Amino acid sequence: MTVRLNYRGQLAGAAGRSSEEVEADPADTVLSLVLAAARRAGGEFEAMVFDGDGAPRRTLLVASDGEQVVDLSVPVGEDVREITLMPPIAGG
Amino acid sequence: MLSDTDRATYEWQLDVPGFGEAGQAKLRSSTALVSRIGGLGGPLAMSLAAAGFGKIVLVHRGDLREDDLNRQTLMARGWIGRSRVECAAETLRRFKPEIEVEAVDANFAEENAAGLVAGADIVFDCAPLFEERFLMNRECVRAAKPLIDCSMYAMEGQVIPILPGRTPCLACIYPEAPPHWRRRFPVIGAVSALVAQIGALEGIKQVAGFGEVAFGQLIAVDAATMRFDKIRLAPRRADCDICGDPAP
Repeated sequence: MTVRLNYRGQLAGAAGRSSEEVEADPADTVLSLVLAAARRAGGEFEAMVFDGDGAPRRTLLVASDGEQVVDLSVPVGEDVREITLMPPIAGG
Repeated sequence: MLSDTDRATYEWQLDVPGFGEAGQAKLRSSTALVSRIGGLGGPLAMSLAAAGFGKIVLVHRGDLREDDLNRQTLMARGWIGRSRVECAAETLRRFKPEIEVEAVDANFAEENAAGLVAGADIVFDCAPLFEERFLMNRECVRAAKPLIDCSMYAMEGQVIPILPGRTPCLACIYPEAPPHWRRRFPVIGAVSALVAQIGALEGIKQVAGFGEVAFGQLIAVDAATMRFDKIRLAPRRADCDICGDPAP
């Protein structure tokens, strides 16, 4: 199935795009899609998404079809259309 | 109880279904705290004044700079170098002399946090630094005051209405400050004004008691594509340092 990955805030700049479509299996974990995205984008994107130990940053908000996903080890699931990665932003 | 002036001033909104004189009276007797008064807080405070909040407390330290003028619509070029919060208060008082406007020429900090939140019925977080945002969140949780968290970046914006004890707090969602955040970031003024209006509306609905406030959700706007989303947030974290359950 095709899943759209959306990158919000500073992640869009780091990825050089605000979204991309990837092929995924419903059994793939959300984390595996995030990890693959980070490897494709590399550098700044990877550092925003993963900490120095390779764990997902606690500041990263991940949503699957409009629902926050806290445990990224869960399967993507059937019929998921999009996964959104949102780093925190602020005012000014 | 509304005065004749109130009825004349707010005639157009008194007819909004679910709002009415009861909603107007609640706004009239309420105090809103807005921190800070930049591209988000300025237009947000203006809309609170327009709606008829009885008192608005503006919190912001620092003077107006030329590079503020792409988004800080309560300001004027001739005011560059003046206290930004005093300028904002002057604009609001000129607009609505009957509203009490208090200008606090300081940022939200440990020494003033508890007092500022204690005097407010609702708090609007428009601050650029996560230290301030987390402090506001902590004080609102302690005081059980609703918090409308507003943020922006480039062509995007987010609003998170927080009701302590019922919804996740800011620290549940973001347990720590993001290491990559920079104080100076790109944004178009119309985006900050757009996000400000969403934040103002969520606060107006909460205080006046009508409509549906998006509690437990993150309202996301992408003005580049004009896409609006609501992300349903996970429940409060029991182990949250700020609002979590006390250790047994």
